[in-house]
Amino acid sequence: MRRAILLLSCLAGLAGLALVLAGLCGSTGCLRPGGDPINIAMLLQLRVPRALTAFTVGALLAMAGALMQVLLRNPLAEPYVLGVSGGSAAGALLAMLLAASIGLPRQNIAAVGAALGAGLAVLLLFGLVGKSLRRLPLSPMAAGHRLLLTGVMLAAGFGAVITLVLTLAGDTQLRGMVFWLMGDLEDSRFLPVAAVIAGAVLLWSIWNAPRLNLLARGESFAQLLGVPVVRLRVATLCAASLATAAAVTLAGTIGFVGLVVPHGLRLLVGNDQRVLLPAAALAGGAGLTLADLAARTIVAPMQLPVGVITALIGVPLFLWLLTRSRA
Amino acid sequence: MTAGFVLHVEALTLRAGDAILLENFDWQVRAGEFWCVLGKNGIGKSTLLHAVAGLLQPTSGRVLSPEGDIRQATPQQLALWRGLQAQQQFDAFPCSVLDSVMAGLHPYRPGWGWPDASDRRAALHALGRLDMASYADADVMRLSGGERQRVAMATLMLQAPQLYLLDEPASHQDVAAQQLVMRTLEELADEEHAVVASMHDINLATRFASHVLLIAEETVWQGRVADILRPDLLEAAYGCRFEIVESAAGRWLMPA
Repeated sequence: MRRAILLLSCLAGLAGLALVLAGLCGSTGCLRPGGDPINIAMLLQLRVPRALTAFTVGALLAMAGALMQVLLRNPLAEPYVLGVSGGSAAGALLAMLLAASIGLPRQNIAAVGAALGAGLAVLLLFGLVGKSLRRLPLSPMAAGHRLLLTGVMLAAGFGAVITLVLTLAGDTQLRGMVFWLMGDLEDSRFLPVAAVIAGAVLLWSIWNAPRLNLLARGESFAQLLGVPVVRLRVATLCAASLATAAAVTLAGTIGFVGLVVPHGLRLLVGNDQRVLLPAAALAGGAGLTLADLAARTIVAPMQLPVGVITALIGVPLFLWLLTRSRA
Repeated sequence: MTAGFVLHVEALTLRAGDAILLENFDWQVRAGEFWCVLGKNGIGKSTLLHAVAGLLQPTSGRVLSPEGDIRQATPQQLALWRGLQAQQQFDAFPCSVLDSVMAGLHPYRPGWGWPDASDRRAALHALGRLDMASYADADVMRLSGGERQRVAMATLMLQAPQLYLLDEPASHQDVAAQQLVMRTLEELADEEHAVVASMHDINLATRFASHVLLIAEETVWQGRVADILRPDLLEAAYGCRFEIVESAAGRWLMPA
């Protein structure tokens, strides 16, 4: 327990540092005391919300990934595996296409489309697997397969819709759509809502962490030890979907955070959800904030899509952790 | 409710698809009894254990604990009444043996507390009884099938329910470990606890169990070991002949 507190304090310190750095630095350099106060105020107004957006999105994705890994009892599950992000992206792109054809501003409509698409994907998922979610799986092996396969199929279907919209879109829109797909932390209007969702999912996860620990060891095992498994699984799927939908609506589909952060933390600190879930929120938030800082500053004044940075860091890190854990 | 009983099964009917496994089945288990459930593959041993544990809704009939119908009980109350060791253990995530065993304490402290020294001692004691104490720090994913099964049994022992249910607890064990597991189960069936284990080894049941439930295609025999484990009933249940072999160590039932 002392180790857990120490680890969480370290991560909280790292998160604070990441936020301060990302708030002060950007594509036009870092702020120094003694600069033009108007200039400083203006830059802070741009950078602080962006840093907070990155932190919230990272925390949401990492928590969604950790919850999904417990729910599917698969350490390689991630928030996008069940098609929520696919639905969200298809919704956003369709909305952009429609908005262009009737002359509405692109930015406003994309987030609305993303939220609707995510909602549709979650409804489809629950409609298709609701029955098997309400039944307790007795065999420890087959649990979650139906959910996983259904989600993968939904994701494939939404992938087709995305490709179709990209084909139909005019050249002027195409660039905006591709950037949205790669992840875009520019727009922070939905930040308050997403932050509230992140806080709620975190509190729910911490409260249910002892039960999630048992769920990770098997559905019937948890039920036999007194966990209301059917209710917990539905609630976990809701929490993970809500977190994913909020993250994707706010910032598009940023990859690898939801897979690498919880999996890497598990290899480092073990699989106690009481530690892992808050640690994932802090590390995911700090990680994406730093990745976004790198995306803004590496080739400044040009800005890279943050999804490129998370993939470039995430892929080798993940492979390294994987080889290390099997050694 | 019937006094003195740990488990009371009333007019239970169990189906698997269209096949009827058990029909109108009555059964009572008292504290201190060690029941072995015997029968052919697919005859319904596991299904019966799952139904008694409340994991599976019976087609009809009731399962009663001393507190009443288990359908009215919360998962938490059920966890204090019965525990079940599954036929197979499957781990998706690494976890130390000691932590895995301490999961058995969840019904007693479902909240957020960290395990203390006495919890660790209890877990080590349970592991020690099954000759697994030296594996306390090992990762459950690296254990052999038999070792993992004994870790599951230590978890069940920490849960210490009134009714221990075990699905083939001796199946993955070597000959020496089989004796250890069965002896431990015999000890667990004391004044307050009862044990029900499904088995394939008739001679282990003969040696250690007090009662036997023998499930055949058309009928179910239940009673004390000596009354049920007879060549004629076994032949009716398994469809092969049995001979009695007398030895200095006792009576053996040998399939012929």
